[in-house]
Amino acid sequence: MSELALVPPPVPPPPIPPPHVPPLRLVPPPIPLRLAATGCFTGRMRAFRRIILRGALLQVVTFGIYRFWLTTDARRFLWANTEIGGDSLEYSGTAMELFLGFLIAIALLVPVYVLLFVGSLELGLVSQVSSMGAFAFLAVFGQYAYYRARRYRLTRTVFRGIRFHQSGSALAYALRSLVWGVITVLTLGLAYPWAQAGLERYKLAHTHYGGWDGKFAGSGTRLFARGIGLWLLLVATLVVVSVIGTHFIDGSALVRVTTRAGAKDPKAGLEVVKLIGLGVGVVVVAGGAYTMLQAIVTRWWLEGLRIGPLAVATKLRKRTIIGAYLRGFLYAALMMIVLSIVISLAVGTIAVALQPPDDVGQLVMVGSAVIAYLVMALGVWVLYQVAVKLRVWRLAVDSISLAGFEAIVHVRADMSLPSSAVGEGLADALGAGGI
Amino acid sequence: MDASLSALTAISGPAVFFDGVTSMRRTVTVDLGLTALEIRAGAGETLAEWPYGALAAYAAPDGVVRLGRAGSPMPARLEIHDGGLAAALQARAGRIRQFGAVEPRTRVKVVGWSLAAVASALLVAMFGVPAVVARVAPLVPVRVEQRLGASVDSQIRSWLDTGLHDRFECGQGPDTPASRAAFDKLVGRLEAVAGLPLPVRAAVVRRTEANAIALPGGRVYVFEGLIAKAETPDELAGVIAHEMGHIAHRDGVRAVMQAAGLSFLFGMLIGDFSGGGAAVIAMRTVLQSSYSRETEAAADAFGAELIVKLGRDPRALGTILTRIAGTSGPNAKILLDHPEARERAAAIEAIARTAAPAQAGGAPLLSAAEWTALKRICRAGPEPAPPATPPEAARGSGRGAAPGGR
Repeated sequence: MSELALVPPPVPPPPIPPPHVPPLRLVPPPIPLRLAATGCFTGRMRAFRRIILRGALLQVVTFGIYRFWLTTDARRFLWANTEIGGDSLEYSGTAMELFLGFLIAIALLVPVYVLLFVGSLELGLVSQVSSMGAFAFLAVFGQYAYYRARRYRLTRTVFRGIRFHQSGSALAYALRSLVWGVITVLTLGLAYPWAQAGLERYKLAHTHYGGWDGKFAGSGTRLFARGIGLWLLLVATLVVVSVIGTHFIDGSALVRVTTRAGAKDPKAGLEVVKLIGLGVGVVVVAGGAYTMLQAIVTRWWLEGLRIGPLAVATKLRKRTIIGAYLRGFLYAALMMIVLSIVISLAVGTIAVALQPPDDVGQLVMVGSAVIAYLVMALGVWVLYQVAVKLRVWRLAVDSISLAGFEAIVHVRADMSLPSSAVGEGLADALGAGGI
Repeated sequence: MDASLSALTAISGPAVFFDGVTSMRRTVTVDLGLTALEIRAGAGETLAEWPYGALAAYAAPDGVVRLGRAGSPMPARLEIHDGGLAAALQARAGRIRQFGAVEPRTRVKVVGWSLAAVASALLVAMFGVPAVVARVAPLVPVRVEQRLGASVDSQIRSWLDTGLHDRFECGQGPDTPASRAAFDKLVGRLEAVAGLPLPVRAAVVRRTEANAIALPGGRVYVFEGLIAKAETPDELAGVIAHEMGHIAHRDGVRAVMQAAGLSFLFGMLIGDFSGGGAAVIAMRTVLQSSYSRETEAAADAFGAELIVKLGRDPRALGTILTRIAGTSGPNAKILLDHPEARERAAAIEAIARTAAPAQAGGAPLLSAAEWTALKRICRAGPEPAPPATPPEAARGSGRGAAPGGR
């Protein structure tokens, strides 16, 4: 090989200008040669908020069936406003395709559901094997569906008149993710970076833009180095919590609180306060760690993306992503406070002004609890989509630049066709779907 | 097309063209003809000609019209950024089909048909599911019910068992044989006249609620709290007889089948196959409580008749129900598992009135000594009763609240 490499490459013959080229062609191209193209998100938050808010309300009215139309609306908006090198993406999927995929998924899953149900009624070994098998099956099947759903999304993504598509086998991907999942659990999460890198490598190696192939260049070791601090933080938190829980909180006093006599015991009350404090501490640490992890992984993932000769670089700052999550969290907290004040005022007014009889009063209580739950769940969902997901998407798009973008003009379409939406339907039915 | 005519009507403007074969971005000139638009390269050669009827508009950012040919496998696209040209195109081509966009008419249709689907599912849930279950449940073989019961039992036990005591069941220790014997005697006397399709396995368990439950397969759990609230053997017997009613009517199998049917129905509709979603659980809870009101009334009737057969007064069941209801506070009617205690007591009263002259005056179900032993079933034993839940205190408060009950 080295001998071969020493041989100078054959010099290509100088191109002979064809005689018919008009003189115009000798003038440099009107578009300046760009070495790197940047991403730019052009959508306005208000427009997205309207889509999500209207969709959420219609979802309530239609018991969730509107979600296919909402997803399509949201994707159309996100794709169309994602501009790379001056041209925007296009989402060419339709809600009807998603709905059809859902119906097919129902047809496929009904027998599975019945089998699992019958299996769970059996005794002893069969029941245990069946419930464990059901869990493993659903986990693997969820990943299978995810991969197929990804194929749907890619084949519905058009850029500069060329479609993305995905090769590879959904089953192979699902098995990989199963193996990586088991390894991750066995290593207490330490293998997570390599699992992510391995799965992303599979996905990107089977992602194509016309005749260009994707590649994932991110390394698990690098992600490990960036994230090990978080892992240590979580382990330290667990140790601290278990030490405090066993040594500084009186468990028997907590049990007594649940009884009538113990409820009035001030010492038991103190223990409850301690426990709540501990719980809040754990939630804060876990939430913070989750947000940090999102920021680290997002940045690492963007940096690792390659498509054809193009390499993605990002100037995404971790703190801006953390800021997006923090803002979403604060909005949600604020909304909950305002909502609980409004609802308790309303219930209180009804109770004082109308003095309803017991039965009606109870109904009002239950009704307002249901409404509060619905409004909060919807509100949190809307806030998450608008304040967190859209913001992170926008930050990510605005942060990227693609080196070597001038080569983009050489992509040729291949003969791939749009795939069916069955994967989306399965992912939706298995709870693995999303915008 | 006639050249002079096309010259008269042509409108031109700039656009960006992607031919769908390469990713080359071309700046082109678009000529709007009479029936088709023509895409011309800067030099003048025609790149494509798209008839207006075949045009489709695809998702694009604000201010951009992105056109393609509907049904074409290659996503060739023409992007018009020029407002004047876009307006001229609309004037010439009429309304262009928006590919994949959600139109208001579609939205109305989706909402309308979803409501229809939900209404239909609700009707099936309210009438179809109980009707099917009522016909299928009696056909389930006893052996299958017992197997089902064992699987439900292990789940229920893991929920109910607080783990605070060595033993979940009362009366298992070596020093409470009398209590256990009294309980078994009471259950045995009832079972002897009940004529059940399968044997009853009853036990007292350490739960402070005043309640008793029957599971599929003949399992009955009487809670410690109920033993504390019961003032006479007849009251306790009434409750156990009521639970035997559930066993006789195969209500455990019915409940499992109904829960599965409802989860399936709403899970399918909502697309949540695990059936664990909040909406599915909420609907199931409301509907199941409406089923169970009839079921409870039927079990009351069975229980009352059982007590009458033994020559005792069935009103005792009504008495203890009223007492329990008085202390547990009012509940919203819609979520109430058991019909209101007063209504139930009245129904039992009616049964008692028709049967009383014929069969009253049977011997007591338990002697005073046996009853005293039974009351202590959870107190004696290998482990002392926990200090925080003295049964005396619970019984005292129960008594105190009873007259104040509705």
